[in-house]
Amino acid sequence: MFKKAKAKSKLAEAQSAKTRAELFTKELVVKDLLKQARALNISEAVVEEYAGKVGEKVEKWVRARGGVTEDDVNSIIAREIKKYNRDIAFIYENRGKII
Amino acid sequence: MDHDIFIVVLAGLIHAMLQLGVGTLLLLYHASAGKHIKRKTGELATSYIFGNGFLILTMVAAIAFVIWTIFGDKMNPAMMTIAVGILVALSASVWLFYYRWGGKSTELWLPKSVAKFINKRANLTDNNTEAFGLGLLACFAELPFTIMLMIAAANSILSLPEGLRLFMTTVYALLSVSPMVAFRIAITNGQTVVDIQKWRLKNKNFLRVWSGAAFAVLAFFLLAFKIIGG
Repeated sequence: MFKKAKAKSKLAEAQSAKTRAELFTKELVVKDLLKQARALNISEAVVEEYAGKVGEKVEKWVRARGGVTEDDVNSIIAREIKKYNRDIAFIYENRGKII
Repeated sequence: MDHDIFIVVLAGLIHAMLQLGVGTLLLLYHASAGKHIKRKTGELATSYIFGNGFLILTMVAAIAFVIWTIFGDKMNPAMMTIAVGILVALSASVWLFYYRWGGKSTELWLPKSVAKFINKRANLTDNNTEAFGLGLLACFAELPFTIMLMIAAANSILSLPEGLRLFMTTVYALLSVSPMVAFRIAITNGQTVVDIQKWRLKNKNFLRVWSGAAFAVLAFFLLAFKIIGG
């Protein structure tokens, strides 16, 4: 019985890792960064130049970790994007902290 | 009459200092600006403000009607004493609980699930009706703090001459939504959500102290003019 439960939890872990990786892919991060750029009246062409690099780093970071929360991902995006644009970084730092 | 007008204006200003309405508008504006053209975003913000103002206006009018129906004219001193007690408790609550302590954020007292729901609704709002509904929702969610302000205002409105009652009800609603209107104008004039959120973060403690103090001042006014002087 314990073996079965252990196998089930391993399967769930593997599935959640897969879901996590799917949730925070490079493409999705880039898409979200471009959305933030539009919302803040920042040139999308300029953001596109570095959004790929940020997306890659975030995807790599998520894959390397066993468990991540949305807050973790927001803070890692904020940390990475801060090197290029402080306003977009501010948006990620304040996600879920407005109200 | 003068002190009744002052109480309505003060209650409206305290209502304006509370932050849920502005915070939700900020969320709506940012979510919409990433999806829609500027004009559409502006329309959504306007509908949101109308929703918020509409509920405030109708609630103050409804509370005035209930007070008039139950008490005949205005609330009796016993009820006013209870209202003063609740306002003093709210004053302490604003200082202690209204904003969450710690961290650089403007998170409010709302349970996480409610805040998440409002956040989700703001992200999903795509048309004017939904924005109007979001305005109603934000106003409704802040009721634990605003209901006593509305009761105090409605009670004072009933003491005014009939010709002034509707006017002062509208003044209360307009004062309450004035920060949102200012925010809407600021955005039209080129300020971004980031600028406004930075301002909110910078002035969080100022707003906490003054809105808490203003609740206490309102309680004192009710005590002086409606219980002792009334």
